[in-house]
Amino acid sequence: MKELQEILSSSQHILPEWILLLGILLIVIIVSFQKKDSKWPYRFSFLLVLIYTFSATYFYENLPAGGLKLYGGLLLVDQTSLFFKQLVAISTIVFLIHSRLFDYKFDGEIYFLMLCILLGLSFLSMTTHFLVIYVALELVSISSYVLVATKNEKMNFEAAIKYLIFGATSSAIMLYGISLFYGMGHTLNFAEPAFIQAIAANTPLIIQIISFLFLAGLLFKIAAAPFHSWVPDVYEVTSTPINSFLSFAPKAVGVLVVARVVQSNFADLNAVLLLIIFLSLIIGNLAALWQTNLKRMLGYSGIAQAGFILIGVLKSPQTDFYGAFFYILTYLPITMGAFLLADLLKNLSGSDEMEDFKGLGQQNIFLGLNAVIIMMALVGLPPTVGFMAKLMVFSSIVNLGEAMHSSVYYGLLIFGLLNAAISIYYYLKVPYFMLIKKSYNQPKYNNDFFLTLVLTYFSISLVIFFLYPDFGTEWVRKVLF
Amino acid sequence: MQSGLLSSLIILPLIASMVILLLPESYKGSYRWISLIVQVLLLIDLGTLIGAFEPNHSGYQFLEHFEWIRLTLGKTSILSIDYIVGIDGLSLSMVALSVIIFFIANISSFSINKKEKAYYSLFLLLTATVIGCFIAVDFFLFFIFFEFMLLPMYFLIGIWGGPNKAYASLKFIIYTLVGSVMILVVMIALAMSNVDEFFTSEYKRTVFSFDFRILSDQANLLKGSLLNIETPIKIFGVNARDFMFILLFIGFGIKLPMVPFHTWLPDAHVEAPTPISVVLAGVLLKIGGYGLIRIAYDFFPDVAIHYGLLISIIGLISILYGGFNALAQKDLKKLIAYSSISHMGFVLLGFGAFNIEGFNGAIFQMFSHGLLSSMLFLIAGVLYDRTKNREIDNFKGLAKIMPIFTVLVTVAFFGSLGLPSLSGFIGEFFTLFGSFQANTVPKVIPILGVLGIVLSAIYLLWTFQKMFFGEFWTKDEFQNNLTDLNQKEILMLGILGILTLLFGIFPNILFDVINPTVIQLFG
Repeated sequence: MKELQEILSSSQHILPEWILLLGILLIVIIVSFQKKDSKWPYRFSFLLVLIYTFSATYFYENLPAGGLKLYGGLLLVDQTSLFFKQLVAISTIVFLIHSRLFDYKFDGEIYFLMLCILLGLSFLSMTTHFLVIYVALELVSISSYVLVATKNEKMNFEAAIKYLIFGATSSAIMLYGISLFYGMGHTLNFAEPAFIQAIAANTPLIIQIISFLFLAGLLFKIAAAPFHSWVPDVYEVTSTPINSFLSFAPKAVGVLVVARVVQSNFADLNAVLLLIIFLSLIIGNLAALWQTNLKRMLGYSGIAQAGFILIGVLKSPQTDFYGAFFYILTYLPITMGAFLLADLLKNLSGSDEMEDFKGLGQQNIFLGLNAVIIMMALVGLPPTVGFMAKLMVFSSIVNLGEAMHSSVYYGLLIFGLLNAAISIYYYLKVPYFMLIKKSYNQPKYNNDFFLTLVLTYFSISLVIFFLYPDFGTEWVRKVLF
Repeated sequence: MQSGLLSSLIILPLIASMVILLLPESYKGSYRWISLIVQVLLLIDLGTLIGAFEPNHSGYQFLEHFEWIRLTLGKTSILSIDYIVGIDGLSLSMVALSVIIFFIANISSFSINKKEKAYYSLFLLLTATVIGCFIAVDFFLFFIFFEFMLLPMYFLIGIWGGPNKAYASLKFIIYTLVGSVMILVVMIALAMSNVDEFFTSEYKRTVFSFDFRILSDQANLLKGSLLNIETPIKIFGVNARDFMFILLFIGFGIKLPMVPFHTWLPDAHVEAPTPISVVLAGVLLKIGGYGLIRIAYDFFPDVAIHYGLLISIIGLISILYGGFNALAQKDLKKLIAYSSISHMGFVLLGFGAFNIEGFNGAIFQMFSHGLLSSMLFLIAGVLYDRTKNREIDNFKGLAKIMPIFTVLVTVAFFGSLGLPSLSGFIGEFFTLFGSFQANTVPKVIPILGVLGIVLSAIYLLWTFQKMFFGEFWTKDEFQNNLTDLNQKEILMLGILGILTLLFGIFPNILFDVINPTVIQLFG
């Protein structure tokens, strides 16, 4: 009886998820009763995400300091999880607006799948329980596989199969890690003291290896090496708005779960994470150098950026992950702006190849300027907020180095910054072709003023956010663990 | 007192750059005049600054201080980033140099007839960022200007450059970005080690500061932090402070440029259009030297003293390597580019001496090289404008048909090879003098350094003789194009020539301004 009571009282506290779940069921009904190109699924999902965002923001008024434990520790609602839920919801809204702006005729099912991912990420962001992590991650993964495969083209199937196989493998590895942890710790909640005590009997090396196995599924979502190989193929063929969403939302929440694992401090994961960071930076950057296709390039850049974000998750005595969280906050406008730019350029030139952007910036100097600002934000050059994000992450390394008395971290500092310097080569390709190269054949150019304006909104926000980052940093400060 | 005089040096060109960007294409003819008016206003600003500047007062003057960003770092600390601008003798000399050179380069830009809107807005952006670099008193602000300079430069070389512009501009931006990344490492490390006591007690959280005045005072170093002096922290077996100094040295050395990080310079110069070459050689290289004094030497004096010998040797290698390379060049612009490397080597020689004479000499050498190399690149531009060719062997006996040109070339060439009474001599003399005085530097280094002057005499006189003396001869297609200077060119070269002469005969004008700063550095 007591358990039932707790389930009932816990259920009151996840109102946003209930709303989302009911909405998703409703959308299934709407899709099945409407004509094929009906606008209702879009309108309804927009409304639903808005309601979800507001309820996630305003429903929780007095959260206790350590967060609210629900369902006997299955879920944990704290400020951090709310922050990530809001970010993911915002990125969904950006996805919806993006697909509307470019007149994507998505079937109703796409919106259903998007909302499923949102629901999965929502649960993923508020748990320290292995089982919930696994279930939520599978909900996200399976919806994503279908999402990639929905365009009925051969390339899509190839990418989706690749995605599925890599995804299933990393989930299996993760499950293996979880089962080993359960065997050792006799509980599935890694934040519980009992788990940490039980696990402390083992040698650190064993725990590190098992942790790496467990992290596999998350790293796959974050798109960090060595679980990155699906990224370029999937990015190349998937519709740009979906890409834009996939490049941000799963990555953000994946990092949050890694941060929670690091925070619970049952193992020293720094060695494992350092390896992943080094690999991600070098693989992402070096492979991106040779790309000619903008979307593939953004895919590899996403791998490198994952490396930068993970730097902020490294553990030190006074870690509070501010670097990683701020980076994620800024990564939202940067990466989604970049994909908006990619879509606009594709509209103008008819292809994703960077060579075909020749002369586009010369005809519309504002489009060229936008491209410069967004690409600068990706490199991390001032005066864009990308610089602030890199500054935060790298200043956290200096703190780490001081606290841990190890040269490895300074090596990482220099290595990371050199990688940022190298990355300018491929990011600058876009403005280079747009502004410097002359186009020999006149491109079919329709001056899309409105879309450029939307893009300008992104790039101006990147600059303003650089000049006044206080709003962002204060927000992040409130949600730290 | 916040007069706004210094800020106007940044804000005026920025606003003008925006205005030009927003003006419709039908006002095409007015862009160059807007830009020129701004440069003239900057000259007036500069005049006011020099008039009100108190040379005996060490420390920053005309300070303007606004709170800008209080970046929350986690729960316990704050990064305080402020908008602080101010000048001392060193920055004043560099600001003066850049305002003059940008004015000249703007006149020289009148010959550019392609995409003027983009050109002038980028050019004004470059003006603002370069001047901002010299007047920033906050490391963060300095770094932003330093980084942001790259983009206008990239596009100015990349769009208006010569045939191989894509390669040159990319090489330029990657080299400089790698350098600035190293500076960024030091910036983060410095900021995380220096605490602003006043604001720390006010906010009740540790406040890290980027203010130059706080960073240069070692009393502000946090105990146990990365860069503290008492208990050194090792990075890869090297003391953290030494490590950071070396990073700074390489970072600014790339900009300077010093051998072996110089290879971007000849490429960038050969491809860049004349006015951009002028700015690059005249002003941008000086940011490397300025940064070394202002940041490397001012914040790490305890470390810098141990590296005198190394820096002197690198300076010497730059002098000789640049000189010998210049000897072998057939392209006039490439020759000047290598002579730049050689002359900037003297700056390093002066730094390596680590005494007052050496530093004064190095700063003077930077200033004088700014004037002379600008002249030299304008000279190459004069020939290139007329013939689209810069091969030294293609011209003989130019003195016959271009007499005024020859006179001004004489001033520039003899100034560069260090003829007494022209400004080049003073800089080279004092750097060598300082190097002889220094206890840490063996005498053989300045002795070999003198060889650099001989080398520059050889390649410059040789070129001078080949191009200007003897019977007049050029290829037939150039014959009719070779006319003497027009008024615009006489104005540009004339101003620079007169300044060279002025500073050569009365070097005290400059020494009086920079000496207090240098003395304070050693105080």
